[in-house]
Amino acid sequence: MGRGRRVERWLERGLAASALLSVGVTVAIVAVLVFETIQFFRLPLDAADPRLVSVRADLQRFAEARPDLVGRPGKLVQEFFTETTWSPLYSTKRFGVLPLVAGTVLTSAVALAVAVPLGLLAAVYLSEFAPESVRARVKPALELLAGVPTIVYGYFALTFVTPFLQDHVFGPAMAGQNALSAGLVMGIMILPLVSSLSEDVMRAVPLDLRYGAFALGATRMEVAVRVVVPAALSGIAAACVLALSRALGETMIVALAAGQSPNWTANPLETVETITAFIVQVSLGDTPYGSVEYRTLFAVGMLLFAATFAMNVFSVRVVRRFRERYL
Amino acid sequence: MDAAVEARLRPEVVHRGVAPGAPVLRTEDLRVWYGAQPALRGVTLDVPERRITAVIGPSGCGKSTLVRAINRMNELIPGVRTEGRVLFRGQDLYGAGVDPVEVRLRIGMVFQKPNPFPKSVYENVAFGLRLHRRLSRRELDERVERALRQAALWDEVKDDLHRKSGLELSGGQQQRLCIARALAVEPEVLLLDEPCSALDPISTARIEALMEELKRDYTLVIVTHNMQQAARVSDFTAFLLDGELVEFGPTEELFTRPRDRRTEDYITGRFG
Repeated sequence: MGRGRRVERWLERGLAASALLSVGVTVAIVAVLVFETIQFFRLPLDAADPRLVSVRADLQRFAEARPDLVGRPGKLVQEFFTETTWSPLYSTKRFGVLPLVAGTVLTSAVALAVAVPLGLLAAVYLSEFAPESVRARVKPALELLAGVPTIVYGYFALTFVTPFLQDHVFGPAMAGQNALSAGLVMGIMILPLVSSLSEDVMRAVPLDLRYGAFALGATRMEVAVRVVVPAALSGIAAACVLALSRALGETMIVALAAGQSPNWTANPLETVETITAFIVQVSLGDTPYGSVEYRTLFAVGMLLFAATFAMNVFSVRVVRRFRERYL
Repeated sequence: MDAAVEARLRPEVVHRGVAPGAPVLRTEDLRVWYGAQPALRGVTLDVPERRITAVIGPSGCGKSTLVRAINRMNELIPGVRTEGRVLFRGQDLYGAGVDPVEVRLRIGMVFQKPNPFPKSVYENVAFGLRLHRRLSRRELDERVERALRQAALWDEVKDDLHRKSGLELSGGQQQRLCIARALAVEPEVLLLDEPCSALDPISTARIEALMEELKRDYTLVIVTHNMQQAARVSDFTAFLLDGELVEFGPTEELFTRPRDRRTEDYITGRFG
């Protein structure tokens, strides 16, 4: 066997190994999440075990705070998904995750409401209207927005956007930390994700199709709206889903600007806590391995993971169904 | 209804009183540049009404540029400059205040590579109608059917109008779909830019037969690199070389008794 062939064999193995590595890491992460999540829902069982409770202060506190849950994991599951008070860090120990979900959904919804329309308009402009010279400058400038560290965005929201909105729009009705400011700034952060990816897929739509529409007397706007956007829809949807995933998982901005108090509300002017912000809050303290607080981390982390995963699966289906294929 | 709208909605009204074969479209000293590169160097050509005019010539001679200048498609390409006039029923299509959208509506175009939209057959044909007119569902259905019948495609697609994508058709069917799409908005002139170059011989024969049908109602200009095709289907032929019109005349004359030496060389296959 020649030297070239041998090198190629090794290269092939190297490539396969790196592919396997990423799959392996993903599987490991999911496995840890699932395992620790099970540990969370096993809390009532552990708290019913006298040997464990005698050596573990946190289990003791749990059992004292929530005698109703001891030995009844089903009840904890039900509470987790249906109740609206989240206070695992306090002595009351309520485990209804809905306030965290509400905070996450609220900030992400605001972010999408900013990023999707603005991002799409920017993409249509850049792809269909802007002269090449403008596009060459504006696109990198927009993409720069995605490169700003999120901690900077967080401070921007907290120290500029919120005071500005308080002074000029909402007055004292707006809390110092609120979902709206965090969402708005997060929208700006994910804007280039929507615009840049959408613009790429729009430009990939063959020129032939545009000419076909122009030859039928379509204006530039009609070509954009009726030909280019529908043909690029699957890519645009993918861009939006990616942006949404990014918003759901975003941490620094919401931790700083949206607040850290779980709040079952739909009012974006109030302080809320997102799933990610809760994880930060717990991780920053000294949380002992295996403790009640520690286990909640993984339960909410798993929830976040499941949500983004479901969303991705769903979007792939929707896109497959509605896209206009061109070849 | 004013005359222009009337003319658009019912081309037969316009045709009335104009003799077939009389000039309807005239390019006057038409010059086009791509950047600094000249593509047309002053072409003056009269296109006769309800006849098929073929534009032939070797690759790069400016045939496509010529037809794209007629319906102002060239200006969609950055860096293209056009001079001269294109007179359509006496009106300069490059005149001040002439909307290129209006021009393209009256002068339809079919491209070299079939380019149906990634939409259903029905939506492909209805596309132009939806842009420009508010039609009831029934009127729209009627016009789509009529255009598909005119393009000799109706029988092949009628059962699957809404479900089948234009891209699921064969190449020849796609090209006829593009013709139907162009006919649906009822243009007065149809420009065909090498419409058969991507098609097999059977599909080509169908399109040629179709053109023969269409010339009863439409003025057709076909660009082709295929001299046999020009000789078969066209009534008049224009021979272009290096951006200049070398010879124009009735097809039979041009092919049997060319006046210019260069035409003779080209049609006898000595170059190009």
